[in-house]
Amino acid sequence: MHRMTRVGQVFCLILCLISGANRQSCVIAADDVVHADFFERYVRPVFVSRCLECHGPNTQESGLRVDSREHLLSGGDLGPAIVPGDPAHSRLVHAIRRQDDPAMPPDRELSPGEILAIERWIQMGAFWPENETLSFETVGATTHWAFQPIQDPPVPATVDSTWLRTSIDAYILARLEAASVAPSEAADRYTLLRRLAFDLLGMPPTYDDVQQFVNDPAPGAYTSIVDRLLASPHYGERWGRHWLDVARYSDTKGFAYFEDLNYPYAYSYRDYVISAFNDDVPYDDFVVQQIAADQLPQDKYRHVSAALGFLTVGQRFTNNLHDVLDDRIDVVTRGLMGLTVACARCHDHKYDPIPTADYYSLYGVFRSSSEPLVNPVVGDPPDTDEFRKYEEELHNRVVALTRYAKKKHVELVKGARDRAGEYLLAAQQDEDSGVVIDNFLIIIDPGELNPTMRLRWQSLIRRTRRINDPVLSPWHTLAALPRERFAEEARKYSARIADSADGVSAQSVNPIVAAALRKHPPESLEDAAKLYGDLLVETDSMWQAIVAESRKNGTPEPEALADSAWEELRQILYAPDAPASIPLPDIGFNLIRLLPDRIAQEEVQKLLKAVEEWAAKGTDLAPRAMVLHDTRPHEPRVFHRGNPTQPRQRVPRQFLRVIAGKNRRPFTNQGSGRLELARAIVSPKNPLTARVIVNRIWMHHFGEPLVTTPSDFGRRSEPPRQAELLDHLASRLIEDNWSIKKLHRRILLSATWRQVSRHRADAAGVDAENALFWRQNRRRRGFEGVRDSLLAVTGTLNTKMGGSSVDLLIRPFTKRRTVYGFVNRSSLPSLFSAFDFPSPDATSSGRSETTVPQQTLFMMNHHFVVECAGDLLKYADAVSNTASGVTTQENRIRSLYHVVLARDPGPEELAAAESFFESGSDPPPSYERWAYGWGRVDDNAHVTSFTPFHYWSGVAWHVSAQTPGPDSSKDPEESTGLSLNLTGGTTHPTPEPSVIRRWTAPTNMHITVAGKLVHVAKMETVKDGEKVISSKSGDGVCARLISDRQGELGLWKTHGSEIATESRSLEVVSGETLDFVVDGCLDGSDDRFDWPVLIYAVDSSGRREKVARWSSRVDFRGPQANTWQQFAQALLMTNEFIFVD
Amino acid sequence: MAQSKHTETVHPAPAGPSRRQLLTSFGAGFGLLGLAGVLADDGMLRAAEPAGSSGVNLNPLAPKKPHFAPTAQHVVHFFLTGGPSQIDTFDPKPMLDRLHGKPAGNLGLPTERKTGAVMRSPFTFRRYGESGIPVSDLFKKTGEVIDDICVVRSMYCDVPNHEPSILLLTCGHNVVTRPSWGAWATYGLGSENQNLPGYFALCPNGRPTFGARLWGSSFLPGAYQGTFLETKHQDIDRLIENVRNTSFSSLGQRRQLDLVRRLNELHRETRPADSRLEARIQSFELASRMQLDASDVLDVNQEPQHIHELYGSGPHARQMIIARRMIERGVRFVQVFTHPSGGWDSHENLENAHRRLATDADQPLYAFLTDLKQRGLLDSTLVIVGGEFGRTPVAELPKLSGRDHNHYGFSFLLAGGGIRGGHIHGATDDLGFAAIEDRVHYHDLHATILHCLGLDHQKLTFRFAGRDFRLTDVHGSVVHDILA
Repeated sequence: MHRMTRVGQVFCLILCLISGANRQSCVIAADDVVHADFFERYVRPVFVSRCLECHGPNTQESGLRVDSREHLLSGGDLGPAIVPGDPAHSRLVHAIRRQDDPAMPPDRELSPGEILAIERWIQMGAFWPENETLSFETVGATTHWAFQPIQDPPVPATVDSTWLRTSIDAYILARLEAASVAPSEAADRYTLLRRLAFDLLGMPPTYDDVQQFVNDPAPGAYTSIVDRLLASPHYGERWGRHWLDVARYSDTKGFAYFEDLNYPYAYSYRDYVISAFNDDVPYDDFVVQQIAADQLPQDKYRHVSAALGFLTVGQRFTNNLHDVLDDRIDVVTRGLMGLTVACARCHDHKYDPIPTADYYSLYGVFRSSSEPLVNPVVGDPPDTDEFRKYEEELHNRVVALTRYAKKKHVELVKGARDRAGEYLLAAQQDEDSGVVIDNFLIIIDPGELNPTMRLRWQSLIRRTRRINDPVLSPWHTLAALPRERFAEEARKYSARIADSADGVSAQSVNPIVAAALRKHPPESLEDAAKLYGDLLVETDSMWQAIVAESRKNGTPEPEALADSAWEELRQILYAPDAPASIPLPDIGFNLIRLLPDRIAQEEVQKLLKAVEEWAAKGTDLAPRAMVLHDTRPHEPRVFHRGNPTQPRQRVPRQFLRVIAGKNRRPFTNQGSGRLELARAIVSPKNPLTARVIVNRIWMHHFGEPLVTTPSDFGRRSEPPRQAELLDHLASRLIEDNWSIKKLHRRILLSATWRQVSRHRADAAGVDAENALFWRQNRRRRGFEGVRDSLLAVTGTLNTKMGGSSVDLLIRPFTKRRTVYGFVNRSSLPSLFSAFDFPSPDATSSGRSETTVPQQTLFMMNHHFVVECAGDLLKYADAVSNTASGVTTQENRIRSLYHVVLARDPGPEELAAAESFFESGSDPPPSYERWAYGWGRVDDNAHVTSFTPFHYWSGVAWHVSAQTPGPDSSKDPEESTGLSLNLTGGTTHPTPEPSVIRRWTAPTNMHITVAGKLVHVAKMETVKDGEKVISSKSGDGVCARLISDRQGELGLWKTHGSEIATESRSLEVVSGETLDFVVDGCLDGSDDRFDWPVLIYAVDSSGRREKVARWSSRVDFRGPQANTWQQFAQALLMTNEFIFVD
Repeated sequence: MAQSKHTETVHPAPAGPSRRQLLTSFGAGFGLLGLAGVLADDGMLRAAEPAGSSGVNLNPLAPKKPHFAPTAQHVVHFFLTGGPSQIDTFDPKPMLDRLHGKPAGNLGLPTERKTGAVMRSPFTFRRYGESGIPVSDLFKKTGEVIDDICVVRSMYCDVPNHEPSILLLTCGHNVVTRPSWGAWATYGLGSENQNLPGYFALCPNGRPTFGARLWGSSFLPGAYQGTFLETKHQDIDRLIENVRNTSFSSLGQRRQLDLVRRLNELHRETRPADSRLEARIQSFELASRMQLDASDVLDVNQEPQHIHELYGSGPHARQMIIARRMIERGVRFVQVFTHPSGGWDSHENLENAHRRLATDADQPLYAFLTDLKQRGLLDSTLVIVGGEFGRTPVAELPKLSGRDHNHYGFSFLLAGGGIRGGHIHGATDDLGFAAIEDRVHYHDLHATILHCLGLDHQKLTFRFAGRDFRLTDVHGSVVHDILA
C-alpha cells in the first residue's frame, strides 16, 4: 500500500480520537499496515515508556507483563489485562482510566490522548507485530523506517516526461500526478540567479551578473552558472556556517571557573569546515576527520587536525567530564545520525532502541581521549625565528605548570595513604550526615583533608557496604553501632569475629584486622579509625620497602605482597579504584578542584594564566588545532541513573546495537575506538548518516526538510515526506563518493528546484503544506544573510577569509562576513538571538524563523545599518557615474535599484520614490540648533575660533578617528583627545584648546540656562614618607558660558565634585550663539566631565516655561542623514531585499 | 487591571496556512486556541512541533491561554544579589544569642569557606502587622506591609557558590544554559502589550554575573529573551538597544517607513498568500510603536512628586518605579537586580554592610508593594524577593565579622497574585542553618510561579535535542501551602 495513504489513514484515526467522534463512524477498512502503524506510533511508546519498567522481562509487578500480546491476554494476578475488541471489559483500561484499584501508572497518569489510543487499539483488536516482544532495546528496530537499509528505489514512471530534468523530478512528479497537482513553471532567470546566489553564497548577485546571465544565449548557461557559483570561495562560507550550526560552534567555553573563557583557536575549526566545503571533501572523509583525524596517517593528520574541533568546541560545563563527554556523544549521534542517544544517559531510551549500555559504550570511546594542554599547529609550523622563540616560551610556561601539578599530585596521593584513618573517619561522617559535596567548590586551609579525596573514600565506603569486604566489613559494623554503647558493643563484636570457633566470621574477615580488633577493641569510632589507619600505614611501609628493594636489585617490580591478608589491606590503598589511585587530572579547573587550598589554587591559577595568555598571543603566528589524543583506553561501566558515583556493569567500547546489529563486535584496535566509531558512522550500511545529511542539504535548498526533525530520525519522527526520494538521494550520494557538490548539482539542476515560489490556489487546496513540492518555497535571509547582503550591496564587503574571530558589534564595524564573527556562548548578543541565531550550546537541527519588532528596530535604527545606507549611496553614485554621468533624480533612484535589487524600478516604484522626495520638509527639529567642536578663547573671553568635530564614533564627537593617546600630539590642533558626548565630554591635556558645545538662537527671545557641571577626578596615591595618601588627581575643569554678542555670561570650576550652573535671564537675538566652553584648567591631565544643560524660554515676567525648549542631552545627535540616505536605507529594509523568491 | 493592547495581532493571508504553520502559530490570534488546546493537552501538539524546525511563527508574543485560571498575570523578582542573611532579616533565631561566640559543633554542613563560632544577629526583631510576623529592623518599612507577604523560611538549593546558584534560580539548572524563567513565562503566555518586550531585566551599573544568560531564551526562540536595561543610564537610547534613530528626525523616519510600506505592498501584490510578508510589514508598525512606548515606560519623570517621595531616591527606587510602570503596561516578567555582583555578599563587616544595603532596598520594596496595592495591581502581580542563597549563622574566619554563603536554608518573600499574605511557610533548624520543615527548592519555587501564572510546570515543555524540556527539568512541585 502506498505510504501516503497509510499515513493519511492513521491521521484519520487520530482525528477521530481527538474529535471523539462516534465509534461507528470511525470504522475504516483498516488493514494490518494501518494497525501496525497505529501500534508503532501510539501504543508501543506508551507500553515501553510507561509500563515496561515494572511489567517487563525484569520485573513483573502483580505478575503482569505487557511486553507481548500473549502476556497481556493471560494477564497477571488479577486476571487477563485485555479483551481484544472490548475495551470496556479490559482491566488495563480500568487501570489507566484510574477507575479501579490499582490505578496505573502509579506516578503520573497517562494523557487523555494516550488513554484514548490504548482504548482504540483494544477496540480494533489489539494488533501486535508478529513474534515480537517489546523491550527497550529492540523497540522499533525492525519496523521503524529510519533503521531500515537505504533502498535504491527504481525511478518512477511519470505520465509527463517533458518536465523532467534530473532524477529528482521523476519522484516529485509521480507524486504530483497521483495527487492530480501540476508542478509550477520554472522561474525566470532573474529570480533563478538571485535564488542560486542566496542558496550557494548567501549574498545577492550584482546587476551585471544578472544582465549577463539573462542575456546569455548559450544552451548550458544555467549549468555553467551553477558550476561557477559552486566554485566560489563564498560557497564554503555559506555552507560552512550551516555546518557550524550542527557543530554548535562557539568561540567560548560557557561556564567555567578560573580559566580563560575563550577558545582562542576555535577559528581553526571554522576555517577547516569552510575549506572542506570549498574543496568538496567527500562527506565520509569529512566525518572521519572530525571524529578521528588524529588516528589518520601522520602526514594527513597534520593538515586536517583542526577537524577535531567538531568534538572540542562544545561547552565545558565547569569542566565536569561527564557532561563534556555527554555533549560530544550528543553532537556525534544527533548531528551525524539523527539519533538522540544522549537520552539514554540515565535510563534506556524511552522511544528508541538505545539502551543505557550503548550510551556508555560510546562514553568509553570518548573517555579514552583527552586534550593536550597546548594544541598543535595546523600543518607545518612557520619556519621563522619569531615562531621558534614563541614556542620556546610556550614550552617553558607549560613545563612550569605541569611540574607544579605533578608535585601537588604526588603530595595528594601520599597524603591519602598516610592519613587513611583520618579519611576513613571523615568519609564515614560525610556519609552519615548525608551531605554531598561533589559538585561544589570548597575552600580549605593547607593541611586539611582534601574534599575530593574524602569523596573518593566515601565512595569506597558505599561500594563496600553491602558486599562482604574482608577488610572493611568490621568497619561497617562498627560504624553502625550506637554511640552511647559503642565500647561495650565493640568489645563483644571484636571478640566474636576473632573467635576462631565462628567459622563464618573468621573466613570473611581479614585476619590482620581481626587480630588487631581483638588486641585493642576500640572504645570509639575514632579509635577504630586510628586502628585502621595504623594498619594501612604499616602495610604501605612494607610495600614501599619491597618496591625499594626490587629497584635496588633491578628485579621486576613486585605485583603484590606475598601474604594474602596484607595484600588485601594493600588493595585498599593501591587497587585501581582505590581512593588514592586518583589520576592526575587534566590541567585547569579540575586541578584546582583537587587542590582546594587557596595558596595552591592561586599558584595554579597564576601558572595556568601564564600559559593561556601566551597561547592566545600566538593566534596570528599559526593556527592551532583543538585536538583530542588517545589516552589509556577506558573500560566503561554503566552509571546507574547516570550517576558517576554508582558505576554498575562493564560494557565494551562498541557501536550502537540498532545500527550494528546482532553481530556487532567491540572496538578492538589499540586506542579509544574513535576511528572505528567514525568508520561505522559512515559505513554505507549505516542507514542513517547519508539520509541525515541529504535531508539537511535538501532543507537548505528548499527551506523545508524531507524529514521534519532533521536531528531526530528516531521513532517519534514523522516518516519522510518523500521516502523514496530521500533514499534515492542517499544512494546517489554514496555512489558519487559522498560528493556534496554533486548532490547540490543534482538538486539545483532539477526542474523541482527551479519552480517559481508563487502560491497557487488549486495546488494549495490539495496540499497546503507543499509537502509534495509543487512549488519552490520563498525563503528569508537569516542573521548572516541579512548582514552579509547589506555589506555586499553597499560594496564594502571585506572578502578576506579565515583567521581569528572578530567582534561584529563594536565600532568601527567590521566589514567581514558574519561567519567570521565572534560567537560567545556565555553571552550571546541579544541581536543574534533576535534574528534566530541558534543557541550554540547544543547541536542545532535547523533555525526557527520568527518575526519580532527587535529585528525591525535593528534595520531602522542600528548604526551599522545607517552606516550601510551611507555607503550604499556612495557606491550607487560611483557605479552610476561610470555608466551615464548624468545624475538626475531618476537616474540616481535607478542606480540604487540596480545595486540593491539588481533590477530596474517599476513605474509605481518610481512614483513612490518621487512622492517620497516631494513630501513636505519637516519643521527644523530642536537638535538643529546645536553644533559640536573645539576652539580657542582669548583673554577677553571671546571665542576666537570654532572648528566642528569631524569624526562621529557612534556615541561621541571627536576631532578624528584615531583613539586618543596619553599625550597624543604636541600640536593641539591635531589632538584627538577632545570629545563631546551625550552628557559631557573630555578636555585636552593643556588648557587650550577647549571643547565647545554651541547653541544658536532661532529667534529673538528671553531665556535662562540651567545645568550641572560634574567632574569625576581620578584618585591617585601619593607616598608621603611612610604614609600613603589618596588624593584627587589634576585640578579639575573650568566651564564658561560665552555669548558672541554679550561676552562671558558665567564661569564655573569644579574638581572631583559637582556644581550648579544657572544663568540669569538673558535676552538673545536670532542667530546669536551661546558657547558652552570647557577646558582642563591649568594642569596636564585630561579631564572627563558631564555638563548637561537646559535652555528655557522665559516669559515677559521672567518666569520660565515648565519644560525646557532645548536640552543638550535630548537634542544630542551624530551626523544627520539626508533624504537620499533615508531612501537608500528604505530599499535595504524592503521585504524584497530580505525575502528570496 | 493592566492595559491590554493586543488588538494588533497579525491577520493571516486569505489562503490557509500550512498545518505546521497552524500548529506553530498556536495562540497567535488565529482563533485556533480551542484546537491547539486540545492538541496540546493530548501531547500531540508537541509531537507535531519539532524544536528548531523552520516553522513560521507570526507573532510569538501574542497572548496565549494558560493551562488553567491564573492568579497572577505578571511576575517581578527583586533579586537581592549576593545572598542576604535570613537570620538577620526574616528568620530570627534566639539560640544564636545564647551560643554567640561558641562553636556550633559538627553540623555536617560544609560551606564554601572556613567558618568559626556562632555569631548572633546584630539586629533586633519586632513583630509587625496583624500576622505578627517578626522582621528585623533592617526591613522596618517592609514590615509595615508584612500582612501582604508570605515569608518562606525554608528555601534551599544545591551548592554554596554564587554562579551555579544564580543560574539555578533564574534558569533552573546549575551549570548549563537553559531558558530563563521569564523566557518560559513569555513562551507560555505571550505578552499583553505588543508595543513593548514582554520580559525585562534591570540592573544598575553593568550586567550581573553571567549577563544575558540570566534573561536569555537559550533554545527557546529569540522572541522570548528578556531585554536588558542598565538602569544607571537615564537616557532612553542608552537604555534599550536600537530604540531611537539618532541620524534622522522622527518625522523623517515616519516618511521613510511610509515609503517602505508602499514598496512592500507593491511587492506583496504579486506574491499572494504569504503571511510572512504581511507579518514583516506589521513588524515595522510594531517597532515604531515600541519606540514611543519604550520611551514612555522608562520616563520616570512623568511620575508625580508623591510617588518619587514614596519610593525614595537612588537606583533601586528608579528601578522599582520602572518595574511598576512596566507592570501597568502589561509586561509579563521583570527581573530587578540590586547589584551586578557583590551586593549582599557580606563575608565581613556584615552589620554595616547589611544595614547600608537594607537602607537602599527597604523603602523601594515597601513603596513598590504599597503602590501596586493602591493601583489594584498587586492582586495580579506575583512579587518575589530573594538572593541566590542565604548566609551562615556561624561567622566566617578569620575576621569573624561576617557570614559565609549558605544554601542549606534561607528565606524568600513572596507577595501578590495568588499568595497567602501574612503567612510563614517552613522553618530552619534552631540556628537557622538548614531548612528542616516544608523545604522549598528553587524547582518548587519555579513550579509555584508557573502555577500562579496558570501554567502546569510539567506541561509547559519545549522539544529540544530529542526531548521535552521544562523549567523544572524533572523536579519541582507546587507549594500549595503558600497560595491564598
